[in-house]
Amino acid sequence: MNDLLKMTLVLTLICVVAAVALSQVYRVTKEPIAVALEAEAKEAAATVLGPVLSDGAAVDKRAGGPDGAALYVAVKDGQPQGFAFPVVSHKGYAGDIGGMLGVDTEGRVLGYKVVQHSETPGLGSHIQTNEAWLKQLVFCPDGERRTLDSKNTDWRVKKDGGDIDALTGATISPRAVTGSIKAGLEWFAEHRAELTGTVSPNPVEAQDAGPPTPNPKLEEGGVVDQKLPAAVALPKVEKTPPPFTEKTLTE
Amino acid sequence: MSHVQEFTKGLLRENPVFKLVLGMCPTLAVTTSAENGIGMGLASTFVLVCSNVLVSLLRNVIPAKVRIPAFIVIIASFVTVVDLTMNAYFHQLHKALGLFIPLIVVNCIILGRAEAFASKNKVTPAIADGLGMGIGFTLALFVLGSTRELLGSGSVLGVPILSSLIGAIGWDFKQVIVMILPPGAFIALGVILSIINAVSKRMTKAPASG
Repeated sequence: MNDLLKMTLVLTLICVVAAVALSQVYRVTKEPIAVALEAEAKEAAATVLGPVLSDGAAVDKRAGGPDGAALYVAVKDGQPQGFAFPVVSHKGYAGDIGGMLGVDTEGRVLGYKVVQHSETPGLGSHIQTNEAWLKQLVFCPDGERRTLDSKNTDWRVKKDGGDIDALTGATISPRAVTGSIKAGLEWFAEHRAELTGTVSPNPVEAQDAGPPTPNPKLEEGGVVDQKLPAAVALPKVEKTPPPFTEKTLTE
Repeated sequence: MSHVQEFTKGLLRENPVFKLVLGMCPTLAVTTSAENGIGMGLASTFVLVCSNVLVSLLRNVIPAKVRIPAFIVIIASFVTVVDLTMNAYFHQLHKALGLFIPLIVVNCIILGRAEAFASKNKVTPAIADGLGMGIGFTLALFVLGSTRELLGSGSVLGVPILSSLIGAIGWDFKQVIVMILPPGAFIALGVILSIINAVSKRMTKAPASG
């Protein structure tokens, strides 16, 4: 009996100490992790918005992206020049493929970047690294930017009868990326009117652009600076949903 | 056995991967590049040393019947600490190692050393043992990772050694993609193990005959 008591006591004590230690580490690292994910999403947004940023526009983060994600708007003289938002495919070969898609106000593709994936190294992973392949997601063979218009681009891989090349040894990963871009373009086409219309310096209107999900985690720890260094002074959107990568990374 | 010997035995003579053939899951899974191997090795070393110290300190407190669950709680806590810290401060490395860090919990090297060594020895030898085993593990992962990266991508630590060398001769470098896929891990490990066994056999024979 005495033995049983001791065993229970020691094990309980160890677990309690471990739990306290872990909660402290979690508290300390929570903010740097949020900052790192945020910086990653912001960097990706700046990359895919590159073509419109070169003439002096600044990136502004807002709520109202697809599925409660963030929306990055390139703003110049108060006018939106382009939009970047996360597109996630659940049809990857090994897990979700998270990407950032940039479009201009007309819905033309400005850029696409894979942010997070777990595809096979050396095969499917080329969706992130193969420059030529990534370029043909943005430009048609004649040099026009791709759009949702079916005359412009059939958003399927060539194997399925579409216009997008697959990669050597990998069809599933390109197919997933292609599908997620198409879904992203469709989302933009649906919301284009309100997005191009409601991007005003008024944060209340900006919030109306989509249902913002309050994120107590971010608010509590202080909202991270939402602008790139060169950003113009625009009011911040108070409530920001977590970057989508947080979800995909922890699942 | 001196502390120095406790440390050095993990490097070669009792190398956890090449000699004890422990912890094969992380070994085979993460070694697609030399960098991944080093990252995984160092993270494991940290957990190994920390858990060895704690297990050694508590060796007279933890009742023998519940020692395994106690060890697991200790190890799992340190792994979570590594996971969170790495995600916060070494975000890129964390992305590369991702899934494998939680796997350190079930890495049998760590539980094995806690059970076989730390729970029976004082703190200083336990640290020496943990460091030696950890660095030996890192070394093994680095060797395996470099071999696979060299053949599979033509580079080591991202430096294009083989591909530029072959390019300099004027040939076209073709990646041996299988080497960075799971089968390549088994092939590389098998070949390296056989070389090490052959060499160590010859080395133990030599003094006997001479």
